[in-house]
Amino acid sequence: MTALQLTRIRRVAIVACALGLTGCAGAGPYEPLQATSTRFETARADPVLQEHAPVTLREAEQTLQAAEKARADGELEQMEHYTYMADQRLDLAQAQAERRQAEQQVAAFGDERKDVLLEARTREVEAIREGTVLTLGDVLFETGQATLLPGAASQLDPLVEYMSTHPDSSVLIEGHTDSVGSGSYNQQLSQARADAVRSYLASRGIAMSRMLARGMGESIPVATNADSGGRQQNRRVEVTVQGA
Amino acid sequence: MEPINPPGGVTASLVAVALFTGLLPGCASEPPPPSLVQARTAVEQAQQAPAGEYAELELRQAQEKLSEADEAAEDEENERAERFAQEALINVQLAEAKAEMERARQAADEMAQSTQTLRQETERTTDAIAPGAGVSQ
Repeated sequence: MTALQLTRIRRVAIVACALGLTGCAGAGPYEPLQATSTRFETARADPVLQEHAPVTLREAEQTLQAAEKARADGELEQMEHYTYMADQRLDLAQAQAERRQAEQQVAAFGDERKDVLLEARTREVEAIREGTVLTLGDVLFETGQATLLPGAASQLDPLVEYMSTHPDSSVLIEGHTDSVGSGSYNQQLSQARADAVRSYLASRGIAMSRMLARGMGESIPVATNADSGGRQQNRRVEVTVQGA
Repeated sequence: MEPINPPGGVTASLVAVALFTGLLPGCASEPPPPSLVQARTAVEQAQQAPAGEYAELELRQAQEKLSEADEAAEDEENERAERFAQEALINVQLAEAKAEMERARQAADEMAQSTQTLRQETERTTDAIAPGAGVSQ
């Protein structure tokens, strides 16, 4: 049964009642109005609704007063109408308040994310000291190229911050490859990749004189060159932090 | 144009309608109440809006109220038409507010989820900086 059908039945009942009481000015108690009044009192006492939907709450109150007046005047259809409107306004206040609460949560999570990122960055920077070796994996370069991929920045930026706050520090940047391909090609690629890291750090404001970049070719593997997993580990750039 | 939402406005326009109908009994061609026009515009706009911008149940109620208002207006029962139009309007308003609430809740849920993920990821990354795993001292 729809709300509208219910409304019609209610109206018939009210009209019948009114006919029976011809000449009587005020109508008797109207249950939906009482229910809505009770609902309103609960809503008014709710601090969430007070804070987030004060205007709609006030409108609901005024509508409720109009319903009470219509009841006192024996205006039954008006009473029914205003009762319905007041009830809808209470629903509206509820929806508005919940929406604003959710929006505040979104904003709070936004702040939390910033904090999380800042803490993480601080921990990363604090983990760096003289002798620290940062290894940039093969995946941070384009395949077979010396071009740094965007992901490299998040690895290198803590180092930039460390070097900015430790002006006496310097870095040794060494490129390495696996054993696939000719020795001279690998030498060249490892040098180019070390240079790319150096250029990136320079672009972030670190003086060239504090950075030494050299290509080691395939001469210093850290894993076997016999399988692809090992070869991937061997393709890397190592950045070693040095003191004054 | 009469304000629609404040109860005072409703009362004023009802009084106006009552006076009008009282002064001109039997008048055959009264204009429909302005709120009926407004209700129709609001319902039509809501119907044309992309899915999810209005809560379905409340929008359906608004459509039913609008039909009732139209019928009442055809029967020259302008007071009744006015009431149904007002009810249709508040239904549309509620339909919109509920949909907005739903979207805000979803956004909050997604933010909660992604913040949690971010926290876990950054903690893992920081652990990886420990000696022997990527960075050595």
